[in-house]
Amino acid sequence: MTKEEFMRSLGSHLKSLSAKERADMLYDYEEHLRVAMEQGLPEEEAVASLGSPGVIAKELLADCEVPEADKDTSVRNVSRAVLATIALGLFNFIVVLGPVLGIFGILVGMYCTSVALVIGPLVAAIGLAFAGAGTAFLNVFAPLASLWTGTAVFPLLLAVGLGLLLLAFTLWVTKWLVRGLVAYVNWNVSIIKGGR
Amino acid sequence: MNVQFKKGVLELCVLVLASGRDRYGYELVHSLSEKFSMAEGTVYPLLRRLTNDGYFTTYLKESTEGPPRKYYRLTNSGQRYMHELVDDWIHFSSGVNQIIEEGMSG
Repeated sequence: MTKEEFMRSLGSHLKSLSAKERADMLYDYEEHLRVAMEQGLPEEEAVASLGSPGVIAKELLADCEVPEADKDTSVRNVSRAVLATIALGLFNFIVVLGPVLGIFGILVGMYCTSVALVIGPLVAAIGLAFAGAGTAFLNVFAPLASLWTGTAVFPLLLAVGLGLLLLAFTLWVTKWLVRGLVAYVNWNVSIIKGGR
Repeated sequence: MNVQFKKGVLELCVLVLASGRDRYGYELVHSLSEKFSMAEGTVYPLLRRLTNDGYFTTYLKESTEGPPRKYYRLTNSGQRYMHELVDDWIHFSSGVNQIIEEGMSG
């Protein structure tokens, strides 16, 4: 490739940039090739050692496009953001809202169940204790003894244990769902802002 | 060599090369390509990035051989950044060397 061909190819890869920026970038290569040839390097060789114009252009574009898009609040960007907001809003309302409410309902159910499993046996135990106290009110230790030896104790403890397990599991599930939801909302915001 | 790794090392080298005296683009690129096999053209995006980040300032200076050349001068923040990178590199490479020595002798 000759110097001319290289410069033309690189320039055409950088068409999306402003004329000033493109000229600025092309200058570096123009100077490089000029100096290389002043030092006695054959044109073909000097061009070849630069590498492919496509790869170079990709690197140049990668560095300047992101900051540009952040600054740019042109009409096109704003209208794109509005469209994205409406589209996402519809999508969220139709597709996302239902499942999220469903999952929320299941979570509420799981919390209620676990709390009931823990509280219920405690109330029952207190009831048993009072019942014991009623039949043997002279002996202070009788209610406790009847509670611990009673056949009702094992299922009650089992229920409390299950309730605590379910509570722990539900808290764990909640933590991950909240993280997922936050990530999803952030993704929505990034889409609206420009999707980068 | 891994592309990201190479980029980081080239950044360090370019900063160090320009720390002694101001250099023009071809000088920097040539010093690098003498040591590493690389597409010379990818150094300029790197120089642009470092300039945009405020680590270099550039100016044009006439040369004895002909038209002016663009020189790169390391700024104060460039100097600081270079020292950070050099420290990182020394720490990193001594770790790698240690692992190689231990691994090869064992």
